[in-house]
Amino acid sequence: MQNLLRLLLKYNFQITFIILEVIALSMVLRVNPLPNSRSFQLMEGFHAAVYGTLNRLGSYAGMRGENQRLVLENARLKYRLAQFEEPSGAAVMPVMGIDSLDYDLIPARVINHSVNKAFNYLTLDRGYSHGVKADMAVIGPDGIAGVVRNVSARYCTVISVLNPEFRASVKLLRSDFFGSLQWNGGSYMKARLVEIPSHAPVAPGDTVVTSGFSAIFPEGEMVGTVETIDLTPSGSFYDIRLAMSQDMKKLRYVYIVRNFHQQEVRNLEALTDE
Amino acid sequence: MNRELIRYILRFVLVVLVQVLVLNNLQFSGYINPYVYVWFILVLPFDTPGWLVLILAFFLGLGIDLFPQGISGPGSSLGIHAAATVFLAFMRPYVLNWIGSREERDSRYIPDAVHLGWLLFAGYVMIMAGMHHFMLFTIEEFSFRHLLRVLFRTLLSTFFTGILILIWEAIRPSGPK
Repeated sequence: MQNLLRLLLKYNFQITFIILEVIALSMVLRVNPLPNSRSFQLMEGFHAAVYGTLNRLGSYAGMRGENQRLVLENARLKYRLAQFEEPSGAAVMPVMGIDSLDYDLIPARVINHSVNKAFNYLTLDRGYSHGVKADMAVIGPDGIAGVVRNVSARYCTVISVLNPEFRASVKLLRSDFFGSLQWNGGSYMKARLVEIPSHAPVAPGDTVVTSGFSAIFPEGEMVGTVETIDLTPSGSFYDIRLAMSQDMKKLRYVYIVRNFHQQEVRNLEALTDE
Repeated sequence: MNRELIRYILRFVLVVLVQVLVLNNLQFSGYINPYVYVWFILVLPFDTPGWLVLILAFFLGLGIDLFPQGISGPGSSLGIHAAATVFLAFMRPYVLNWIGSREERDSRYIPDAVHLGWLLFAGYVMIMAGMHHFMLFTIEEFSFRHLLRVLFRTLLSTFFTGILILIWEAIRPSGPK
C-alpha cells in the first residue's frame, strides 16, 4: 500500500496527464464517462448557448445586406412566376415542358456552418417534419450550396459544396457540355470542374450551371464562372478552375429543393442498371 | 503572492478573450489558424508544479473549446483544444530540460524572452507551438489519411503563432518581477 502511494506520488505528473487527456479525448469522441455528470451537461449547454447567441448576433449584423439580397431574390422569383402565368391572368396552368421542374422549395435558415475545414457541413433549421429528406439539394441565393445528409425532426445537416464528398453534375451554359464539380480543399471560393472533353469550346468567364442529370439539383441552377483552363496530362479532358458564385461564408438563408420525381427516377435507373 | 495570482488570473482571461474574440475570427486562408493562447502555458514560471500546469492547460483549452471558432461546423467539438493543450503542458518540462540551462532555475525564473534570450525563446516557442498544433489538427481531422494536410496546416499555423507570440513578447509591458 505504501509502495503504491509512493509510486502514485512519484509519477503524479504522468498520472495527472493521462487522466486529463482521457477526459479531454472522451469529450471529443462524445464518450461520456459519467452519463449523468452535471458538469458535463452544463458545459455542453454552455457551448450550445454561446453558439446560439453568436449566431443571433451575426444575423442582426448581417441584416441589411441580407434584406437587400432577399429583395433582389424576390424580384427574380416574381419575374419567373410571371413567366408561368397565363396572359389573361385567369388560372395558373402547370407548365409541363421539358424545362418545367417538378419540385418545390422549402426555405431554411443556416444555423451553423463551416468553410475552413477539410470537410465542411451546414446545419439547417428544417427537418423531416417539414418534408426534408436525405439527398435533397440545397441552394443559396447566388448558387448551389450542398446536399442534405442527415435529417432529424426539426434540423438537417448538409454536405457543403466545400466538401470532397460533394459531387454534382454541371454543364457549361454556352455549349451544354457537362462535367463534374469537385472541391478538394484550398480556397472556399474556388472549385474544380473535370470531365469536360478538350474539344468543347470553353473560355474564361463562361457560366457553369447544374445539368439536372443527378435528379438532385434542378437544371440550370447557378454554380460559378470559369476562371482558368488547363488540360489533363492525357490531353483529352480539361481541368477547369471555377470561381463559385455563392459565397459560402455569407450564407444565411437557403432553399431545400424537394424534387417530387427523384425517387421515381432513381427506381427506374436502378432497375435499368440490374 | 496574491498579486502574482491575480496577475495570472487576469492573464488567463485575457488570452482566452484575445483568442476567441480576435484570432478565431481572422481568416488568412483555410490553412492558417494561429493559436496564440498557448503563450500562457509557455511562460508559466519554472517552479510551477507539473500537475498545476496540466490542470491550467486543461481549463485553458476547455475555455477555448467553449467558444465557437469563428465559423464552425459540426466537426468542432468540446475537448479538442483541451486535449492538445494538456499534451503541450506534458511536454513542457522535457522541452525546457532540453533547451534550458539548469543553473538559473529558481522561483523567479520564467521561460520568456527576457530570461531565455530571443533566439532560444524563439526556438522554444516554435517547438512547443508545433507540437500543440500537430496534436490539435490531428485530433480535429481524426485520421492519418490526411497526414500531409495536417503537416501543412501545422507548419503554416505554427509559423504564424510563433511570429505573433514573439511580437507580443516584444511589445508587452515587462513580465512579472
